[in-house]
Amino acid sequence: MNETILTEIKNSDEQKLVPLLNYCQSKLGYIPKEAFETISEKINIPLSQAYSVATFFTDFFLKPIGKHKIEICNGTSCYVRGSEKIFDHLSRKLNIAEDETTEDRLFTLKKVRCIGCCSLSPAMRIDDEVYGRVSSEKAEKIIEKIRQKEEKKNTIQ
Amino acid sequence: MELKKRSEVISRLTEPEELITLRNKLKEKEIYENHIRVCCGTPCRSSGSLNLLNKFREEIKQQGLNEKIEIKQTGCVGFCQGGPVVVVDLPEQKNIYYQHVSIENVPTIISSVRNKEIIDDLLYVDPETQERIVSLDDIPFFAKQKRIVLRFHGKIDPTDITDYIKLGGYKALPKALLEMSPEEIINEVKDSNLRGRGGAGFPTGIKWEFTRKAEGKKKYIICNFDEGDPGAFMNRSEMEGNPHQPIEGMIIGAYAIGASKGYIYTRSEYPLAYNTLQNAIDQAKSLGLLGKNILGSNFNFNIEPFKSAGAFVCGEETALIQVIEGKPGEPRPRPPFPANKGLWGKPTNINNVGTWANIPLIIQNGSSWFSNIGTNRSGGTKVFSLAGETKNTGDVEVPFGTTLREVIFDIGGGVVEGKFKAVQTGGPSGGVIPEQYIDTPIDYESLEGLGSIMGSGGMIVMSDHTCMIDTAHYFLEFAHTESCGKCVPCREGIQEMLSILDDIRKGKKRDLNLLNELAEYVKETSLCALGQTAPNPVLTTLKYFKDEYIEHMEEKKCRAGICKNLISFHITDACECCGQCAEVCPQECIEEGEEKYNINQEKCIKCGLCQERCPYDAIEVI
Repeated sequence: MNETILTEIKNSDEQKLVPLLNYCQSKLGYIPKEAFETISEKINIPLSQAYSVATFFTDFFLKPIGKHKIEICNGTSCYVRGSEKIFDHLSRKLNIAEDETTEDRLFTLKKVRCIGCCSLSPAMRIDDEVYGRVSSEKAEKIIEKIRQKEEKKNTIQ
Repeated sequence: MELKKRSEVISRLTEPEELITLRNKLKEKEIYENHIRVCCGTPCRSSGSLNLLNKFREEIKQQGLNEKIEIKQTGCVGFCQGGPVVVVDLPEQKNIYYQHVSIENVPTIISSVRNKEIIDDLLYVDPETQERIVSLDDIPFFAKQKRIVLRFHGKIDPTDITDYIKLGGYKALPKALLEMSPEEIINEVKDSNLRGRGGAGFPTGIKWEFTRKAEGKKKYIICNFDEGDPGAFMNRSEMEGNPHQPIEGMIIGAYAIGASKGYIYTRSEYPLAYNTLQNAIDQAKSLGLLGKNILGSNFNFNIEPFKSAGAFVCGEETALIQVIEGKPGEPRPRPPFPANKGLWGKPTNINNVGTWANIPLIIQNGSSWFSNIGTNRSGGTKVFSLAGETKNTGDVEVPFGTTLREVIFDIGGGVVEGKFKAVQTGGPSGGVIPEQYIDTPIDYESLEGLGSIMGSGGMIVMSDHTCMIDTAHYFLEFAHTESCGKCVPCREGIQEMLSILDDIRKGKKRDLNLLNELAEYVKETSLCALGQTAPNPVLTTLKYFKDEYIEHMEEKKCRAGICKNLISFHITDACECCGQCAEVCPQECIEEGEEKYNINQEKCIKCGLCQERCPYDAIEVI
């Protein structure tokens, strides 16, 4: 998988750093060391520059993340409506802190400011799905459902 | 996501007449008497609107109504808490607004359309009069707005360029490119009194002129769609709802300025808006509205979307430029201004999405039409994201000069619960405005006079359930995380202020004069707008809510019931002993007593789950 993506990056017309990093992350979920090397070589910039740009942003992961990315929106509207409580609750339930991944590698928990769903705050996003007007319990149930689905998949396999 | 995506090729337009012919053809082809429009903006999607859309399509097909009823997805209609929202046009009644529509309602809506009926149960009920309102235009939330930038929102399919053209989009473009000189356009924009919608309010026409007059053959324009204010969503809504309006504005601007390449700098947090935008650019290219010799005018211009990766400071124009260049998003000192030395050292003009979206309106209707809307100093309207603890939430477009009260109470319907306390404008760079100033007309200068700023349009309403110290802490923590760390006042000053606020949240005594002094110092000496404005939430809360600060320190009390160290949860006599609180408590610290349940304060972590669960409202915070 990694090799294919690296070749794609090499052959792409794109010459700008951030779009290449974004592409890599969209395919792999994170940016491995080899991708940094490929990109910096391709667009002829020092490896340190690629690394400093990637670490400047909050969205780039340098380590593999869980199968599902849970993003608790912590924008102003969500915060005013209690998003911290929801984050704390999930953090306790999943037994992970911010930006950490569960042991079974199913979930990564992240705070995000913001997903623009302020009118239905507090909101959260899991992968591409946005959930509005969540509560601690509602959020927990959604995650539980995903976990059950994954477990079902595993038993079938 | 693919690196490069191409949409289907529609025949290329080579001159303005062909655009007019296309528009006429599209209108002639309009066969539908009945329309069903499903809002598919991000908030409605979260309420399940995509399933609704599919169900409508399926049902219409099954019932053989493909030629009778048009089913369409739209971007944000704007009244989000009613989601999923469906708007229906019948021959005799347009804009019938149905809210909280479920899959089960789909067959009922379709048969109501066939029978030309209205479904009362799905209509909006005015909370004051208890009257059911049929048309979207009569709902107070919409009736009191002036929607010009959002004119097509909820009406067009944002994924189809022909829908925009059919309703009159891309009318300003040929006028600008073929009938006006660049100077005439700049003068028109100057006369319109249009000011930057990103927040600073710099006159757009003057900004354009700087770049126009700057020396250099190669020039760039950038659309700032970074929308970093964590409580603002109007740009997302503008892009998801009608991406072609800012694109049309950019083409006109590029022609006036003399730029051949434009970037739209977007944020990764908005995947739907990015895809909509990418698709819109592709369609504009295939129609020849972007590319070489646009509409036979000899003008060449292209747009490339650029996706960022989450950093507030990149809304600052020099930081944004750095990122496109492949460097960390650290602002650089100005001068030189981007107008002279911007992207890759070339003259560059940057405007916010909202600013670009106003351009087609000005060119099409004339500067005096535009400047007559709003105030003497600021022409036109402003789109706000109304959210927080207000009853009605969503996109609100009002002329400059409208008062905060009109927006929050007439349009927003007031606060959901408790009493109105303050409104926060301008996000982390803005401040809180208390009730005594609620009749202030909204304008760049008036909000600045109150210690806040206009900002990009975030408007968060706060009730007495919001703690002002916690709010200041929230914004400062945000600024602290987002500070790039390049200059000392911002990096160290914010850190120090944050530690003071943290102590106050815990009820510890700290010197408020020192806090004030630090805030002023950071404001005056920081390198870029992030640091220069980060103290605003602290300064305004100190100015208007000093008693709350003192109360935290002297009485160890948080009247809003937010600051964890100063509050405790208690079960009142309203307890019915259902035991649900004990069931949900992660600490297992709620036990049944003789007449009610009790919380073991020593073990309680104040997570609030019991309060959330209690069906009898029997848990209070003291």
